[in-house]
Amino acid sequence: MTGVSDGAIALRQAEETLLKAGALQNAIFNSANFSSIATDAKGVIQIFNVGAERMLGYTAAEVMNKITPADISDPQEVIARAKELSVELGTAITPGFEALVFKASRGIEDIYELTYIRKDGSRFPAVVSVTALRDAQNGIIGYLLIGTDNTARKHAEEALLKAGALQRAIFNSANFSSIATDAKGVIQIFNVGAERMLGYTAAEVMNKITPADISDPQEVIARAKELSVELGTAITPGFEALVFKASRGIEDIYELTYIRKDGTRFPAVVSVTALRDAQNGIIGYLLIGTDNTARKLVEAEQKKLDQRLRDQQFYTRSLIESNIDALMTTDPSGIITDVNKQMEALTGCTRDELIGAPFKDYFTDPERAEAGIKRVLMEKKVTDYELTARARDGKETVVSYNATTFYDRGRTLQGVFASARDVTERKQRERDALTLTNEISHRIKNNLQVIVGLISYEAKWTAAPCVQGYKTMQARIGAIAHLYDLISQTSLGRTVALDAYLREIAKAMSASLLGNMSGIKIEVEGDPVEIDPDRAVPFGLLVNELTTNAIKHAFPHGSGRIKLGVERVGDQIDLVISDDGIGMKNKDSAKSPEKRGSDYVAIFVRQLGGAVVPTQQGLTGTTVRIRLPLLLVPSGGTEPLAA
Amino acid sequence: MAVILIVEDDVFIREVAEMMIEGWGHQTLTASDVDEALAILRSPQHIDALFTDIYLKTAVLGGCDVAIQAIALRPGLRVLYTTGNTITDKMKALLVEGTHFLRKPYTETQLEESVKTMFT
Repeated sequence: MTGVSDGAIALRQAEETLLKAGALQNAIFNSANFSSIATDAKGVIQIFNVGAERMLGYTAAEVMNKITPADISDPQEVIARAKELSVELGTAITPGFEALVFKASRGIEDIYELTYIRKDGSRFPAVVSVTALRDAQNGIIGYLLIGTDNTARKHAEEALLKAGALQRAIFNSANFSSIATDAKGVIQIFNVGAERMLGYTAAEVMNKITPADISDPQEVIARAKELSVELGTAITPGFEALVFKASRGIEDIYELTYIRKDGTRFPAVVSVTALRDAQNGIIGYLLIGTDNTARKLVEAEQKKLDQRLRDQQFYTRSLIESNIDALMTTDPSGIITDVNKQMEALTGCTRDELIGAPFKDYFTDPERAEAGIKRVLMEKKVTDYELTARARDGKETVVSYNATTFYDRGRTLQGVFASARDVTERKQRERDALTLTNEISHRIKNNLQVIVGLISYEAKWTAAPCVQGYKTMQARIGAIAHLYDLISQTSLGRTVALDAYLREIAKAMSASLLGNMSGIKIEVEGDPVEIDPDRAVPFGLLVNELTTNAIKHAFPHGSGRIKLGVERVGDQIDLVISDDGIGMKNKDSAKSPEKRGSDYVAIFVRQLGGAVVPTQQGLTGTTVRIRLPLLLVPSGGTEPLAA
Repeated sequence: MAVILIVEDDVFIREVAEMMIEGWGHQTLTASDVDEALAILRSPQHIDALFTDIYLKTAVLGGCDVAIQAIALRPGLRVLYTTGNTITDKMKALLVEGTHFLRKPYTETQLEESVKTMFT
């Protein structure tokens, strides 16, 4: 039998011994939380348990009889360990498996940290315990390496290290005052931060005074009183008041005014911890303080700003509330987000009831209300949009809305701001005015109708040659009546828009004189100019005469075009009536109806303060151009400038 | 020839209209307000057309009212409105469909044309 065979037999025996060992060992060996690797005397792996498989990612078959534990360890660490042990034990140790088991082979208990490398190349810290396996003659037949994954502990250690560093940083920082006292409060440690903040050197205070001596005495007394009440036990005003809570194991951080050596004061935030011995007995206190001046200043400034903001808000709100209009904001979907008192009065609902409710619900025509909001969103602004608000008690109020969209600082649409003015009285005045206008119009037209009727009656008993004169008279009366209507339709308050007025005259004359089947068309081309209402009737009559003349004389074949136009020429207006008919003919000067018509034209031109502008007449067609001053009455004035 | 009911509150205008219409060979009936007009319309009297002023002293849109009730009583009745006032949208909405309109003041020729058109 060879040595190796003997070794193998012995190993199996050892394995059996191992298997027969206690329940704990068994548990460890079978545990997935411990890697158990057994090797022969040369380090070649013979056993690789489930824990080793789980931790290292190899199957037992992949490593058994193939590699040593050194092959799955960080080679740098193995080299370093070999060097260290060589120095420690005064003998050269080969970097490799020997470095991992040398101590154990010498019978020295060996537990060390080692980085194992998994099959996938990733690494983890392990704590490895090595035992030499020996035969009955105490000869080494192999090694057992039991490893535990040390990752979690490593993390905890790192965290602890960091915390320690933080503590050291705080203690050495000039920004924190760290004052440690004995159990009675006498200062034992006074760090650089305390020196800087309080102006004392450590030597001046150590073993001499307590932190209470450098604190505002009034505050110390007040704190003692407060704590006495809070904790139901008498607390002496002095150092006890500063540490009483900490001495009872209560976490304690409070504000306190420290007094510097030069008598100046500063607000501090103080955190107090009791320092205890191994038996948990208090041996002193640590008071860590930070200068709170900057924060206090910021707080004071903030307080001032808050107050200013509140004042500003109050002012803004008072403007909104004192507005005579009902004000309201909605979100883009038309849900009310804010209202003023007038809006509450208008709807008979409280602010709380209105906010969150749809805007449209408070109007007699919700669809029109909603359309209004949509229009504002589309056009950004809507003015004089009339709605009828309906209050809870059923009272209806006609309101005129002006509304705009509003945005936040980032220009994001927030919704609609709307103000509603009660126009009930205005509407009533408008209705009254309309009724009066209708009544007057009715009377005037009836009177004109009576005149037209009288003429008709007269014409029945008149000789035939004169009948045409009566008819022309009736037509002129009809024209005057119609011009009144047109003026009321085209009037822009004080003035009459001439282009619109001409279009209406053209329409009316086409309808009454030409009919649908006529070949004569009347067209209008007008600059947007206006004249005073006083001149609108003679202007209309002038157009009526000239157009009637064109219709009667220019188109013997019954077809053609008449053009009515107004042109702005500096501060004057040109009325231009042209046709593409047969042109001017020499007429006799007898007082025919046509002659009377041209007499009327001259009268109307004079009445308008204008003049006929001579025009070059072509072979065909006729153009009449009449120039009028733009305005007889200056805007806002009442006296005529010229007659 | 036709029978035409004239509703007009102004006596002179009504009588001149009556004279003109009769002059063209038609027969006329006359009323000065809504109630008189409805009384005639409800009677068995044969009527072909209604010529009514819209603005009656007793009712601002009385003529519209007469026409609506007249058509309800006598479907197919011809209607010719007249007024000196501007026709508002509100008024337009009250006019019976398929009817005619003549602006005041109207001449004999214009009334004759309108009556002819009404019967075509």
